[in-house]
Amino acid sequence: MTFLIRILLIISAILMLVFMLKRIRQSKLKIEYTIFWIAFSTLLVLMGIFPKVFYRISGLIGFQSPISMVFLVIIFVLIVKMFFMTIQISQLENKVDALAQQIAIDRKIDKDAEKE
Amino acid sequence: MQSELLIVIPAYNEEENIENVVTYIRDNYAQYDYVVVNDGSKDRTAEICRRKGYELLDLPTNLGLAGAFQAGLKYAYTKGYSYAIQFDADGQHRPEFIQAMLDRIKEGYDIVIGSRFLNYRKSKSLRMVGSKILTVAIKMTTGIRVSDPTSGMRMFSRPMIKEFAQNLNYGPEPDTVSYLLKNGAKISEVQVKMEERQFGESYLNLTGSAKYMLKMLISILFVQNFRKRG
Repeated sequence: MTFLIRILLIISAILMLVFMLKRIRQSKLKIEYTIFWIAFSTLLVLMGIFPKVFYRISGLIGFQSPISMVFLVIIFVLIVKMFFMTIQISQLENKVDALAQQIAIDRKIDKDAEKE
Repeated sequence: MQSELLIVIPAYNEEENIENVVTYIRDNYAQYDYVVVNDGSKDRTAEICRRKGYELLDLPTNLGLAGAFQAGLKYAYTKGYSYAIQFDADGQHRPEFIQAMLDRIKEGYDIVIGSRFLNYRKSKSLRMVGSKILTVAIKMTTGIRVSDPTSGMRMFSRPMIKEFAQNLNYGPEPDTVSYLLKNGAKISEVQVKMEERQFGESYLNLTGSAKYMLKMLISILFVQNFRKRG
């Protein structure tokens, strides 16, 4: 990995972290949703600071160059994250639907009770 | 007449325990008001509450403990209660300790925790190791010793009720306690005894506990330092 890429990794990780913490500070983000990003940016920083460890791992697995392993790891983590987010979004939508329907039904029942 | 204290009982799939717990409170501790918050249970919890005529907030969907407890505190805030206590629906908590906690909070505290370990040592189980780690983490970041940070029996004053009711990231968990302490909330602990849960399973198994600990530690040691109050 070139020096430039290492610096880039570290800076982007820190920027990511700062952004997340700012959202928490403004009370616009739940803490449990930042745990992933804190862990992920820590991983990026580690990659930037100790590239030797990753050279060795990529050599062991048999990558041509360490940088392609870095890319692969990042892409893999993000795809898994996206997979779980898709599931989460679908569950959320279900919940909102259920809520709206329940409210409508309750309103109707209340109104019917008033009429009687 | 309305009591000054509201007992908030969040319940998720507690059909086996809820009747014993709430009937006991209603019959023997009628001086306190209570409300059961049914957190979208999939079993007969809501049905039992309705049949028995319990005070009930029936959430149409599952929000998790934080959301259910917040619903209870919003209710407490709207109705103008001076104090609110978080009380488990699984029979672990014993209402005879509520009075001691109420007396303590009236001395001018914001939070009173019903602690199992104020005068007794923690046993050497894995669960207690977790509790100990959280005690150390809170001590490190706030300088205050909380002997039983995971105790679910916590009483809150009126200003706290308002904060919990209106804000994000105020789950009834150790990291919120740590955050409030750091921001100058006054806390006290009262020695209590707790039962083992009577029926059903706790939602924290081994991987669940590991996740919980990771979340709490990252939150207490790192994230809470960046939060701003108010």
